Amino acid sequence: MLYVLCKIGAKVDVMDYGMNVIYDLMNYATEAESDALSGNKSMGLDDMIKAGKGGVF
Amino acid sequence: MWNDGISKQLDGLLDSMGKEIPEEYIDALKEVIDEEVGSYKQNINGNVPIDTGGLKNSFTVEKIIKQNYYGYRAYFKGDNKNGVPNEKIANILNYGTEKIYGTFFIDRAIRKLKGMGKRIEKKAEKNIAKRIKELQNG
Repeated sequence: MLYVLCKIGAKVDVMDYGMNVIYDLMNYATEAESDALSGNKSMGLDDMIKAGKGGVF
Repeated sequence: MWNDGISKQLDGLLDSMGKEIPEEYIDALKEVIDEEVGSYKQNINGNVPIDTGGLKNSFTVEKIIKQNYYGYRAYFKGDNKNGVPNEKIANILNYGTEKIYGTFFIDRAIRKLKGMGKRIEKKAEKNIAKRIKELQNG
């Protein structure tokens, strides 16, 4: 499942992931990336794609 | 030299750009997301491995309705006739298993989205330049 979801607010770089995509990505995400995916910190679109993760935003 | 009205409008636009996201930026964001999600959809539809056609037919792109957010959810909806989730089948075909090679059709489609942030910025700059020109020309 891919989410292309952008928050429109003070900044336009907050990406959001749904639970399903978090679950799918956990299998191959590193610990730090998993933290980002689970919402512990925000990660930009390009960072996420650079990291090879499936989701966008 | 600009007349007062245009100066005020320009000031207003430039002012808003410093304080909040200008409308032109939000429009650019929406336009680019729409275009690229459309391309993603075409890409998946054109490359999804086909056996019965059930998996291809299950591919769904839905707009996410959430305040202050804009975007889409793309996934393989439902289960096949044996009760296996289509999303799971798609992931297996994408990544492969010990016994079958992955086709990476999803990964490849996602990779094409790389740089979307920059494309949004570029589009926004164009929209803002156009708006400023419109204000200057009255």
